[in-house]
Amino acid sequence: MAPDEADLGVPVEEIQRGIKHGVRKINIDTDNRMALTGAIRKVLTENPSEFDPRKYLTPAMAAMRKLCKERFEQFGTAGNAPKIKPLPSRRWPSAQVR
Amino acid sequence: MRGQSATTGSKPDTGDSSLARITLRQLLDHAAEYGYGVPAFNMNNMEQGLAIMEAAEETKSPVILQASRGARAYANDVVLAKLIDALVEIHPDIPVCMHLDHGNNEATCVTAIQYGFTSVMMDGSLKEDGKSPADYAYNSGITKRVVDMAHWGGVSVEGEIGVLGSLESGGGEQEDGHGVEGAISHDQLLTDPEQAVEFVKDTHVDALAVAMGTSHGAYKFSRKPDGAVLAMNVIEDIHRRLPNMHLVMHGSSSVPEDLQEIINKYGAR
Repeated sequence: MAPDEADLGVPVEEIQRGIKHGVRKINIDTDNRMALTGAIRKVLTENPSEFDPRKYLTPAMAAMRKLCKERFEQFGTAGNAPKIKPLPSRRWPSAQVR
Repeated sequence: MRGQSATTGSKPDTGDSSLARITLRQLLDHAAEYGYGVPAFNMNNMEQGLAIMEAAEETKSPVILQASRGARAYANDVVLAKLIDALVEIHPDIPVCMHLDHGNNEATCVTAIQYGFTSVMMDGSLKEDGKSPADYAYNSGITKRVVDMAHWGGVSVEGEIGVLGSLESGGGEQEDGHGVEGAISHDQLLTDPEQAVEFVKDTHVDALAVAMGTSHGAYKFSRKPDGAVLAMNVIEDIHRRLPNMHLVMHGSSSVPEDLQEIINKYGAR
């Protein structure tokens, strides 16, 4: 039994609400599985004679990249890479206790 | 050898592949300070790794790449480790946290660390089989052991309190062989905020996954989720009690309509 199409997942607004309340890591797998597989199916359905993997994996990667970019922007992650200086591993904090 | 560093040799100067690796703790501390969230995307192969990193580069975002036990079995630990090296080398300006998704015992966590993961999840909400709900003593005990070990090397740990699964169907969905099997009670599917406080105190985890109605897979809800099936109030309650703890939402795909349309149009439902 397929549920109502539009309402299968966790709405982005709810995640954004969570971010206001301490949510810092948001796990996403299904969306990318769908993006990749959808793009592959489209190529192979429209052109069943295609058998070069690059011909369907390139659009698959593009679909996944688009989804990831949307999430980086929606969660406020975008623009933060230049503001972080990863500590070298010898200086990783050990046994931090709150 | 004079005039030539042992690490660069004749290779192009692409930088040290360990430079942009970041622990989950440092990344989420930054996210908390500046009020943002970080998506953790699962990775099983080169295509996913390249796509995630290109998106991070284009938006200048730090990123969490995560591999499950299923991903490690599929791609082989050595391939994954070298792939991460390559991604970090290609994108030296993007901080990358490499995280183990749903470790089921101490060994899974320690071997991930050996392969260069900067963060591990010890999911003691389920027993080692990844199917049977575990009690509090088991969960806090095994999580504490992993935290002690990981922190010796500066590696971060995510723990989980409460069992992930749908509040509508009263159960979980298996993903990569991980997920509660059979029906369980409503209160097991919702993290008890008081127990979350105790768990953090007992284990010293760096991040805490909570159960509040999200589940793995494409069918999370049968209608637009409200508080009865997606208990955001649990998050808010835990955040009030643990304002400094980094919270994790699992199974948080939004399953957008345009992707549903494509996947249905070109294949079976």
